[in-house]
Amino acid sequence: MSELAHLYGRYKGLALAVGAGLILDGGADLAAETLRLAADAGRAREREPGAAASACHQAALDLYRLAVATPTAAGHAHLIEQVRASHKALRSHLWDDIADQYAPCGAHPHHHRQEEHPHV
Amino acid sequence: MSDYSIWIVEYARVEEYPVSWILYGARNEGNTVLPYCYAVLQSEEHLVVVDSGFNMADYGEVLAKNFGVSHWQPPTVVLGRLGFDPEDVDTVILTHNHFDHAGGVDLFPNAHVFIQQREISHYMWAKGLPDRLQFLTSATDPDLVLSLVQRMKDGRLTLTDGEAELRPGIVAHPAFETHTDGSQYITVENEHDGRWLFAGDNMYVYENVTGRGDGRYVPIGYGMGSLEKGLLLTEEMFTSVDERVERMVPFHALEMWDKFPSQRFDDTLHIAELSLRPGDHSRLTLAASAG
Repeated sequence: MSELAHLYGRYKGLALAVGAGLILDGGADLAAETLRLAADAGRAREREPGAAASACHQAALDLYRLAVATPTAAGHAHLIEQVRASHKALRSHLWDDIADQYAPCGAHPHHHRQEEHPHV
Repeated sequence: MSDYSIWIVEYARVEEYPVSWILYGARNEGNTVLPYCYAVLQSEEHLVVVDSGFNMADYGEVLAKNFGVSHWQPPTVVLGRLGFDPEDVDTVILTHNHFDHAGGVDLFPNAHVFIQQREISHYMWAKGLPDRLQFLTSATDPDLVLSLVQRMKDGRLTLTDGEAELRPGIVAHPAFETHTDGSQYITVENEHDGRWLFAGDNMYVYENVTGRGDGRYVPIGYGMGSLEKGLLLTEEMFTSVDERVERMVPFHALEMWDKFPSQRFDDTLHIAELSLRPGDHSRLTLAASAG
């Protein structure tokens, strides 16, 4: 697995948790973990610069900012928009690498086409 | 009691989907066509969708390329065929948080959204797991949860905790540790024709309930929870509709178009009309003229 895919796995778990925390109790303490991810993504970008690495770093930074923000603060809704936007930008770089993250109902990519049975 | 007209609308399709992901144990049976659908319910007071589809604006190309998802149409088109505007939908009920069921929430901008609290809290638990357990969050997109955060900030998100009446005659029932950790199935009690049940992905096709010639339940091929709980849930759902399988509505079954009056459109997508409340008229006539 590429380093980017590994970082995205961490991002995905943390982003789900940050969002769930905001929904459930107004926020969860994920500051340390999201900061670590942002730092690791920054180092990965330094090692292998590129658009995907930059998108990963930006998404991780935005997620950290959301994790430490006060939900009732002005601009919080805008911050969520930013996280959604940077996540989508990151995701667009990952489609070919780890596309099965979004497999419809978990279906594997059908690289190996099988004999067709048109009806169940 | 309330009365709802009920339609199942197809909004996309997977042309080649492994049968083994639909029916547990169906190895070496190749692929099948898998429709993607959600339900539209209309009463005098409410316009409701059960599940929301997904938003092709972000997913489209990669899904089409990697998984053969095709023929996607937005709610403006799909609901438009019934004469409805997605902006008039006041209620979105999510059976679970997989992208093909919950990924279209943004497309119903004025709706109040209902989902089981457990489906959300599960992500708090999962975040501490090592990377090798990533499969547990497959088919889930962080963006969906963030869209629900926005909906919550607007005061239009309700987390249900077990069984709850969401709208008159519409009840959410917990289906925990089955297809997903916090799944729910939905029943609608119609005064004029009784109970309808929307199983989410705890029933992909009718064969999951009717069996493969032997009348024995076949578990779904893809579930994160317990096989045993999934089977017992099937029993609970089946008996709750008095063993009338036609009252159980799956969202991935080709048979829908034969079991109920339906319309096939030029883009090959379908709409099935399951129930019409007294005084309502068939939208399939409208659909036919809409082409």
